[in-house]
Amino acid sequence: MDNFVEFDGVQKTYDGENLVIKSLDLSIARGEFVTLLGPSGSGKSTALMLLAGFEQPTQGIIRLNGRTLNSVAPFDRNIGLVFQNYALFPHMTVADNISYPLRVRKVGRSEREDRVRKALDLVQLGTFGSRYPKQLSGGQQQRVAVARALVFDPELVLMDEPLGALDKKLREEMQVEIKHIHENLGITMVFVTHDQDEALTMSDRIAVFNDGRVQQVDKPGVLYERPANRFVADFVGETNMIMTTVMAASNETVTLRLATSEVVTAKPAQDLTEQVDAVLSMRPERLTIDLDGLGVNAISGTLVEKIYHGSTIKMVFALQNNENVIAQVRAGNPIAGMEVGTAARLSFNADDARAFVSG
Amino acid sequence: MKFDPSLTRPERVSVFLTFAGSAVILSFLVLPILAIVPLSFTHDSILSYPVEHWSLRWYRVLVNNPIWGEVLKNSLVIALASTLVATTLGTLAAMGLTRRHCPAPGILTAFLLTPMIVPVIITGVASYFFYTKLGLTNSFVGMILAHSILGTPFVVLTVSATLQGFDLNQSRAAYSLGARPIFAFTSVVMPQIAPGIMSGALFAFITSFDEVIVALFIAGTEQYTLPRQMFSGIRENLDPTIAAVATVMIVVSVCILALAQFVAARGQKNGNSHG
Repeated sequence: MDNFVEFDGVQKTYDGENLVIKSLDLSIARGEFVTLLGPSGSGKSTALMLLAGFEQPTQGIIRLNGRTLNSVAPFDRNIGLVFQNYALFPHMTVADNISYPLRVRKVGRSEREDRVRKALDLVQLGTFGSRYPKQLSGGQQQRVAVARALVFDPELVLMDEPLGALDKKLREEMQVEIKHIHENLGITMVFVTHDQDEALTMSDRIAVFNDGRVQQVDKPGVLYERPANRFVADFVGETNMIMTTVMAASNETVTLRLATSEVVTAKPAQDLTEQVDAVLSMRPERLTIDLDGLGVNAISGTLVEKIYHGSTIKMVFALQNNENVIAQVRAGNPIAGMEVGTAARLSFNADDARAFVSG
Repeated sequence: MKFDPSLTRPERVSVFLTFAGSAVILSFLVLPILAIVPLSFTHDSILSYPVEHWSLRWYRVLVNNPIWGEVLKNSLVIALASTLVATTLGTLAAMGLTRRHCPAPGILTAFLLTPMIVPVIITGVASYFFYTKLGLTNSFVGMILAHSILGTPFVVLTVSATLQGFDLNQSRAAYSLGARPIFAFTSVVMPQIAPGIMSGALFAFITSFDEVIVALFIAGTEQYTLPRQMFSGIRENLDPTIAAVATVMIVVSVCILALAQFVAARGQKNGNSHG
């Protein structure tokens, strides 16, 4: 993989004491769509601002296409940026907003008009050029911001939580639309969000940030199915976490004893040794509910609550030590009809459960 | 007076009393100033009521005496130049104060506003001693600098207020699109904070145009401004020309303040509301 964008040992502190980014090494390939995902304060937005040039790294080097960016001013970077609050220029029409980067680059008038028209068509706002931003809806303003960040053929496009202010339905539409634009133009995009669904939907790869460090960088499927540590398992998707003790461990499987004395096997995500505490993580949709009590690699529980989600139903089971475990079943599955108070065995494939170092 | 029909009787009484009280206070504030206006239209040679014969005699004196044209020109030159200086400095200061990395913006603001708070006579005396050393007394440069000092705080205040509602991402957006700082400022920032700059500039202009105390210390006869000439006129011969000059000054000041209000109101309406 070529390193089109590269963070090399980057650190950042604002106050000289606390590192907002403790250590960042990340490579992004040309044409890739990479999402920086993490809770607020995890350093993901700071990483984006470093790339845009509005902040300087305290340590380390940032490269774009082989060129060191550290000392390059933001206006010389040729990087498109879409802001969460759009940051459209309110005193300019939509067309003037989009043609602004072309005017700066001294592109001739007729070519400018041509490219603005193409950019407007790209975001399906063909007839809106003469309007002012405040005459547009939030979603339309966001499209203008995207068009403006693309029109000057930047080497890289950054998006800082661009869909955060939109309602759910519009957000999902825009996710697909931005994804299509990315596929059609083949441009490299770095997208920041705290919304894991958004990250899973849009990205080629996701970098999960927490506490100033990248916890894992992987394709969405890998990230979801094989989280590298407890934080990633918890932050991406829903999961059941149960405290256990390691009885036996190898590279391939680990045998765990629950507080209820039940023994199960799972895949170790990290190095685990005998007798240490470990966290067992199981996705709700990977649990099978056995009413006949015969499930292997299973734990016993009693149904305490059913939560209806339309297409799925979440079944909340209490273990013998009153810890809760959630199993998710599809609507229409006959098992969803079981009564609250019924005991069942929750079984799972050892490959679908992950064991992490606790803490 | 038309009342909101939903008001009860006691509410109407209280509304009426508020209006009446406000009218009395406003009259108290404005009437002494307005009292000078009719006096400028007297035909008599003494500055006193009652006015028996009305005429434009003293306005003719005003126009025909070259000294008034001279000092009006001085006033305009000094006011315009000091407005330019004050507006530039005040705008830059306000922009610096609202930057995210500005250290101790509170103390800096207080410091920048001192010329507005310190009694003008202190500024006058201080400028006099300081400028004497620099050879700036009895000079236009001295007057312009001194008036710039008095006008700058107004610009700092009005531009800071406008920048409060200004989205700092606007400049960042301009940079990310390739604009260099000066172009980003003139094409993106300035059009949006123009109302604040304009009203600050108008206040700075008025401050200089109406100023007499600093002029007493700094201005030589060559640099006499309109108020400074009036001040001399009052001491030497108190005739209704003064009333005519005063009326002209009131009209100019009211027009400029009205313009400032209008600009500010427009700024509010068009505001930086987006997102």
